[in-house]
Amino acid sequence: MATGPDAAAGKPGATARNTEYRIARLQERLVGEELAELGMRIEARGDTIHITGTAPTAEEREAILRLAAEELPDMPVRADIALADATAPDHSEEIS
Amino acid sequence: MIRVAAVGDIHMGRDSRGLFRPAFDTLHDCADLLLLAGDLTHHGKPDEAQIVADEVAGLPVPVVAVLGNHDHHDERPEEVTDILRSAGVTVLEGEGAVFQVGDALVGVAGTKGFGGGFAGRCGSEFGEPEMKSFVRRTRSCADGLRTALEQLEQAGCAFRIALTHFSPVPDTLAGEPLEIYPFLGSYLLAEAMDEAGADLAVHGHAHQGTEHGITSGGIRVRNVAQPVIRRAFAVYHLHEHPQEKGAKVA
Repeated sequence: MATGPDAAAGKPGATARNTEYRIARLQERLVGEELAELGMRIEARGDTIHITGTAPTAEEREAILRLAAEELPDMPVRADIALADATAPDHSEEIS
Repeated sequence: MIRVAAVGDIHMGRDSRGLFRPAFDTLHDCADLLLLAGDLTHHGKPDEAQIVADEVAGLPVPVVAVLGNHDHHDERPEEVTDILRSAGVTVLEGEGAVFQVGDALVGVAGTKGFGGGFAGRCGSEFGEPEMKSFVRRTRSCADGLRTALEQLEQAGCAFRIALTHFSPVPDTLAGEPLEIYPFLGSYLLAEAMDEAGADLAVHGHAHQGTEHGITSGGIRVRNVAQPVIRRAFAVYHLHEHPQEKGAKVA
């Protein structure tokens, strides 16, 4: 039986739980720090973190990616974060 | 026919000052009024509210807004409201406003709304004080919306629009995780709209949701969260139904 400091890390499920909690921690930081960002979806896909959503500005998208790198430095992050499009619409919808 | 422009969740701060103004300056060509469906700021701070106020000040169409949860975060919603009103924005919470558009009176009833979930999958006024307070808050918003819509009908409005931040229906949440639906809206809002009647319901809040939905009473619902509509605003042309209006009056 394994004993000592390394034993806990080898327990079944420990890695998965850690990833889950670390994603939750990242989401808390996105909400709680200057960003106030509640609209990002952050999910584990195998060994990769996938972030999707729309950021209001390029600066905020960079800040989200920086926080993700800080919180999950050992995991590859794939981000599909669109930028908000503030152009006028080119069509309307008829509602009758 | 009236033309309604609407957007929510513009989340303005220092970095986005002036971002929407070029598009808003086109409103005189395409809309009769602009609805803002809450989450206009990041944190609900006065300086952010001033950025929003500057963004819409002096527009050639009436601007009508409700606040969102972000606009409450700094716990100064009254200050945010005052700053927006000083720029000419009509800010609604449990009340309505009437606008003359051509020959028609257009009424907008607004409330931020709140969460709780949807029929059969929702919270109840039961148990801990915090839980009862949560659901009571939503019910209070819905009651205010119902009363405002009824008053708009009594005022003779040819068109009535319900403006909220939280969603009245689950349809427009499609794309969001099911687990968070109770934090995104409440059926109590839709129930109030269906009981009082409305021609259109507009909301925001659900960034990963879907634009189109409908209440069980047949009111069209549009999620205008900016990440959903992917433009500075959406424009809806509302057409009057003479027969339905006649039947409702009778």
